[in-house]
Amino acid sequence: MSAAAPLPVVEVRSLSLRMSRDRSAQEVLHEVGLRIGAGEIVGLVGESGSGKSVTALSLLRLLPAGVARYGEGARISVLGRDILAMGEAELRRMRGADVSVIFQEPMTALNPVVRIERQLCEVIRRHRGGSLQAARALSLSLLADMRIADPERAMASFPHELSGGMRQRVMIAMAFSCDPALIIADEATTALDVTVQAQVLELLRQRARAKGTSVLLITHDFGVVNETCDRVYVMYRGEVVEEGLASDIIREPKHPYTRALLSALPGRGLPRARLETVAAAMLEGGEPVVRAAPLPPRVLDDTRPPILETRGLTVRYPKPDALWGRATAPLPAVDGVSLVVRPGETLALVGESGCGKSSLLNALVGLVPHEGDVLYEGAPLRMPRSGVQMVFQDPQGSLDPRWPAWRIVTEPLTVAGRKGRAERRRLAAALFDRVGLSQDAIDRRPHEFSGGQRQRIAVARALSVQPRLLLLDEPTSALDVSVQAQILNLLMDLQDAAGLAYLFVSHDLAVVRHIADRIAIMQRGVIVETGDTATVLASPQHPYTRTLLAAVPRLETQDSLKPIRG
Amino acid sequence: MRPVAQASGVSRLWDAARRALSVAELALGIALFLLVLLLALFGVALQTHDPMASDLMRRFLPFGAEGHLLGTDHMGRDMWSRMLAGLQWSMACAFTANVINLFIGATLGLLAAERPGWTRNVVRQVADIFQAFPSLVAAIVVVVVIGDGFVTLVLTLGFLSWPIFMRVVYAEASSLYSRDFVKAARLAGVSRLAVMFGHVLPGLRASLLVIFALHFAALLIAESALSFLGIGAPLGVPTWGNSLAESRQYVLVAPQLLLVPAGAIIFTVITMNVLGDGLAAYSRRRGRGIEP
Amino acid sequence: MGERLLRAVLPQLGKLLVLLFTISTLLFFLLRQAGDPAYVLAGVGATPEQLAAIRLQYGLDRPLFGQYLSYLGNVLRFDFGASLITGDSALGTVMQRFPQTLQLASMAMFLSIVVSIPLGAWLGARPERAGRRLVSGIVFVLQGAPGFVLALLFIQLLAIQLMWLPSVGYSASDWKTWVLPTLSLATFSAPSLTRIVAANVTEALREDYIRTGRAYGAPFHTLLWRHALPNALLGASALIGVQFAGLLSGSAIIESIYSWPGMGSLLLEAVQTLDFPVVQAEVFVIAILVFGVNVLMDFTFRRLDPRLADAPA
Repeated sequence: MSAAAPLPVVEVRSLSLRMSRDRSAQEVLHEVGLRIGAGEIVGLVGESGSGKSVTALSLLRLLPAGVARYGEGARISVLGRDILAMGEAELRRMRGADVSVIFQEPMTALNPVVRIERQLCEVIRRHRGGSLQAARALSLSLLADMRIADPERAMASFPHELSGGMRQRVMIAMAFSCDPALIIADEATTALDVTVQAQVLELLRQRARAKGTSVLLITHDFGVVNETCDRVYVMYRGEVVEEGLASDIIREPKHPYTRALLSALPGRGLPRARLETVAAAMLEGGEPVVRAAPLPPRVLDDTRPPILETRGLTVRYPKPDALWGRATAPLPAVDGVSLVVRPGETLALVGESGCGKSSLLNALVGLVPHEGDVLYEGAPLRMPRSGVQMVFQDPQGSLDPRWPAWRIVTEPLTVAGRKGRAERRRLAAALFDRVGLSQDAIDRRPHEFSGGQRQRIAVARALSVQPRLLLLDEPTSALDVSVQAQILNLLMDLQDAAGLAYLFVSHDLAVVRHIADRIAIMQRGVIVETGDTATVLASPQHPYTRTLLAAVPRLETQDSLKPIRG
Repeated sequence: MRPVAQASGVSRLWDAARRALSVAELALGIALFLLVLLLALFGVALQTHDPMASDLMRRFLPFGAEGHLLGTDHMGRDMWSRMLAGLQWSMACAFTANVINLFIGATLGLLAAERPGWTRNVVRQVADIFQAFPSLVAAIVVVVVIGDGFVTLVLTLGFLSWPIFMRVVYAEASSLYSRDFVKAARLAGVSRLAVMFGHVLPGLRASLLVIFALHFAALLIAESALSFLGIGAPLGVPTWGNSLAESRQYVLVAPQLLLVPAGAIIFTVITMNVLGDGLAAYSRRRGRGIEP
Repeated sequence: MGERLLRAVLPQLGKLLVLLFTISTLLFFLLRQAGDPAYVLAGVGATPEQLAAIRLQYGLDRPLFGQYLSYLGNVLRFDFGASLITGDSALGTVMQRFPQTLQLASMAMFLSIVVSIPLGAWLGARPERAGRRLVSGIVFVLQGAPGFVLALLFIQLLAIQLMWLPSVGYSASDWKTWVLPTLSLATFSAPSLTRIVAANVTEALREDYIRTGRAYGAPFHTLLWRHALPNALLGASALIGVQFAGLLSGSAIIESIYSWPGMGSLLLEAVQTLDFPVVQAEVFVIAILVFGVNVLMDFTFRRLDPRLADAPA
């Protein structure tokens, strides 16, 4: 634990900010206070719209000038200098030199048509001056510090030629290039796979400690905070609601929002217990809802015939030959996968990006050609089939923006035969009721709903034809933690009420731990380990499963994390 | 929260109209377009003279001459009446050709987006060929060979310049076809036709309108260029292109003869461009609302 | 490099063959259905005997399909026959006019590019400012004004009223005769190119890498010229090939207005005198020219854009 140094690197006091858009101004920050000591790693946590990124960008006045209005009495001081009173030229000398930023999406944050070498050298020479040779030499050593195996080759590359993790290492190298006093990492690892995230976070932490650089780490993930930060600020709707030592806040959150947020996290408590939702907590006057009592253990009968079974499922994508358009023998994206889902149970399919889980799903529903068998209730599955429905990751993209909600949720019903408008609206209202949406809302269009509500609509559409099996493709990955908790609750309720079976595709072990009965770990097109969730997560057999588990940022120590067996 | 009751058709139309007029550029475009449209439809009633009637005693009258608002040409024909007649010809020609373009281009574009594989490749190659060849050169050759006349002209322009529609429809329809809501509909068993009419075509409406307006302008230019070269419009038909060509012989005597058809062409083309840009700006703003 | 060029050109060559085959087939049947070429060849007032002799001489008495095959054979050898008016080789007649058209189109293209890129970047950098809105308005009006109408207005104003420049005619040695035609032809492409560059620059300036640049202290002119503009130009580059086809369309009409001795004015003369061999040769040459320019552009920009460099064509 490093105590705050006498002179703070950053001191923000009563920062209020209004942003105007389309002639209306909205207060996005209210009286925010923030302090970062020398060499400190400080977390800034909140859900989307909480104002955490806006706060961080304000430290360098990076918000568009015409749009942002700072309130009177707001003070931002960085290294003892008044940012809000500074001229543009002076600000430019600070940006990248005294304070630098690492953004979330390294693909778009780097210029796609400029080589890494030029992008690094441009920054170095702007702030440090010196010859191109000196800048090149420095760039090479920075990339080597980032444990990039072949710095020369990385220098000569364009951003799209590097992997996501490599690109983010390049961004971090750029951030350290002028020895700044502070680095702002704005959701810097959110877009990365969990094993890559672990490496990148470790690099960032080590370099910052070694150089005595302060870090402001913006994240929505308490696990990341726990493993990386000294102190943490929690933001909610433009205000800082709580601050303190990271370990204290995670162990004993004081503000109801923080408490709610922490108990909305899946994978901490009892599997399949109802997760608390933020809305509930904030409405109950600050007292968290009592944690649900242990549920009766789910008894799953493994002798029943499976509802879905795959045997030796293999997917190969032809690789087009540039010159002659001929296919060359490819590596399979899915290689001989055999899975079983039984009625009423949840099988989770877990893997990192590119492991083949999406290809597997697409093959199941016949969107890509495959070898091997897919059996539904013992017979080959041929879509469309009302018993099998799918829910997609991004509810924004899976609902037609031009359609009113009642048309969307009853669309599958039209296949069986024409139905009158009144009939469809009545059915839509009933479906809305089932997924916890107000019946009054069936005439609204998707953009009038929030992200979580949209995912409920997507679930309602899937339910409209009374399916027995839902294929869930990362159904909560695009959602905030508290919204994710609501959707997970909904899915578990529906399963208990209607005996649905789920094939739940996810990259998130915490979610899987919470909701899945059985789990299958996938790597490079192959299922490397499968079994009941508690067993696999408690004593992983395959090295890849162990790596994956070790990489997940944790809130608690190893011991307390052991799942409670039902 | 909005009331549960369904908005009636009329009030939804009124809503749409009010939203459209709130975009200044679109409001201007619609106003100009309505003016041009009314003049084209009912211009005959405003003609003060027979556009073909010559009066050799009253040649080369200047603007504002008595009885001749825009003066007279080298045959003593009334320029105002001739301009209105030319407007009718140009608008009819560009509109019909544009409808043919739209129909061919949209059909092929949808086909290419719906059926990836060799259908798509063939359609794109054909569009490439049509787009690569200078369309005015092609039109000159075809019209001269087949012969003048409204039908020839319209069919030639209609069959030559559809690739712009095909490209836009193909690109946008492909992106719609790759969206999850189409995937969801197909997985639920919704037919290809229902997906096309329910999800894809409504999504194309905005861009089709924009291209229709902008391409209208291009066709107006093409038509007047052809008739300026003495191709397309039969001799003696008072088109703007013909008037321009005739005015060239009298630039020293009566330069105003150049200004009337030139002004008319420029004004009409700009009207369609303003309308197209306005529609584009409107749909961008709407798009932000629908898909932020 | 060599292999890359081959990879870029080979599929395109196949496309060119399809294009030329389609065009010559269409032309053949189009021209045949327009009327019996024997009448044109024989001239006005020919006797039936003369017509029959001409049919025999040109093989017009053979079945249509046979004529088509021998026509294709001739086309393969670039033999389009002789001009019906002058009796010279049709291809030779066209190639004689080729340099002037290439000169005019290149000058216009060059002028468009040289004006459009800086102007578009300037307009796109801060489109909301008053002065730039005014200039945008002018560009918008110019885009709406058809090039041939502007050409007539230029002649009226600059040549007849002010007498600064010659109104028509071409001289290889007198640059003054080049000015108005080039200017007029450039108005076909410059305004739309400017607007595209401006729109792309505005869009590029909203990208994440511009925010990164700002966060690392880059001044605005660096962000605009070194980061946003190259991205914007790559987006606009695909249109340059299409623009070139537009310029060739435009040159047909501009050349005839200025009596410029190029392929465009030749085409109009040829169609008006029904000199079909020349029309065929001309259409052929234009197809190859446009195609060549498109392939060149495609290849160039593929090399400039790193994201496309390795992608199949």
